[in-house]
Amino acid sequence: MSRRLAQASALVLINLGFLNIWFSNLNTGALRGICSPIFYCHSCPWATMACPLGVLINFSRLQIIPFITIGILGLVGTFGGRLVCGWLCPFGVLQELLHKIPTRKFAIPARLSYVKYALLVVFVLAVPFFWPNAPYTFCDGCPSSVIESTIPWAFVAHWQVTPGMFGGFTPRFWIRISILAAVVVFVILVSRGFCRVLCPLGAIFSLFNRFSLFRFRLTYSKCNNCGACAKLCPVDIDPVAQMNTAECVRCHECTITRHIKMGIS
Amino acid sequence: MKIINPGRAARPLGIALLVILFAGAIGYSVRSVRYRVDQVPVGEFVVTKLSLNHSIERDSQGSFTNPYVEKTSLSAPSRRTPTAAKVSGQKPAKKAAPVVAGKEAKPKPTVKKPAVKKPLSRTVVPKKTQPKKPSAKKPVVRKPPPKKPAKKPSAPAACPT
Repeated sequence: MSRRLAQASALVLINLGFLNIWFSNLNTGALRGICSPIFYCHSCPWATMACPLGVLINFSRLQIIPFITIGILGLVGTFGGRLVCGWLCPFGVLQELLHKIPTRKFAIPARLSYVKYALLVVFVLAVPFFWPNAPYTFCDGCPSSVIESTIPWAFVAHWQVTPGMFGGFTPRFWIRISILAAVVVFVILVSRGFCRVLCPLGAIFSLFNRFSLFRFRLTYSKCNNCGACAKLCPVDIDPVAQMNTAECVRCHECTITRHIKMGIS
Repeated sequence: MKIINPGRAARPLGIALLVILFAGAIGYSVRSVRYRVDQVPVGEFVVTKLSLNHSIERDSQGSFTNPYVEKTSLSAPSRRTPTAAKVSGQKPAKKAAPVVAGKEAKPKPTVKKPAVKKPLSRTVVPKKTQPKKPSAKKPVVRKPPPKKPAKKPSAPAACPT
């Protein structure tokens, strides 16, 4: 319950621009020069802060070092590792909701988790650095930005020009929609599939998971290896054997079993 | 005798080091890092904001430009003049040096020197310090003529946000 509250609060805070509905003079763009640690597109009409991946890509394109972004991500990662993924990320919430659709579910091999590191290095850092004008950065195919920016702006643009009509969708728009559709299907079938396989921000935070300040602790006296916590885990790891590994999104689901606790250690 | 487990001691130390490192990166950026965009030094905050709208690019020479400012001839000077006005009024010496690194402390003594020389020039040797007398009055005179900062058109250090 507290996790859902935190996720809802994060969604509201990252979308403070919606207050412009009532307070038209509110300038919510003031904070867009700083990145949030949350995977949320800054091109969203309501977005409060910048997306860290977008900032990394843009700075990589300009071939300068984003000190503030590195600092923010590093501090957040040092504090809680992937705590943000489990507790704040709106796209994580969406994945959890989509995965509740009753269909056959699949497990994925653990090797696939390395794909997100490759995406981070190639499509967030290398491609924009070496080919600044190339339209194949991570942002260009980001499913989160399709939901938060591409679709809203497409509607807004067409309402402004020809109200009530939705024509003018470019081929690029449909490519992005198809990427989103593929990710949605993937997420319905595989629990937290995007976080585990595709999310470059998760790849950054996962580097801190092993030694972050907040981490899980196991009470060995209470554990009888029943495997109940492993069944609850949304990312299909065994919390007893693989506690605080890079794949753990710190969602706290395993703590229901009472022999795993989270805290500063 | 208490035995310290080196494995356990390393983690808090590492965390402390990382916190210092990352907080230092933020502090360094806020305090020192400036990029010239259309000859105006701006901080990382502004560069981030500009980059979100693709309003900043590298030109062929490697310097940063705002393509949307260049296209309209009126907007380019209008953007520069307010910063120039602020510079002439407040701290011309400060804004001369720090283009990229934050060495803002050097110009400060140049402003303070004439104020210190006032009692020296009046009390000790009047003949030798004849040229210093007007220099002592400079702080009063300096305010009206904004020529000095105009002659040294070095860009302002302060972030125009």
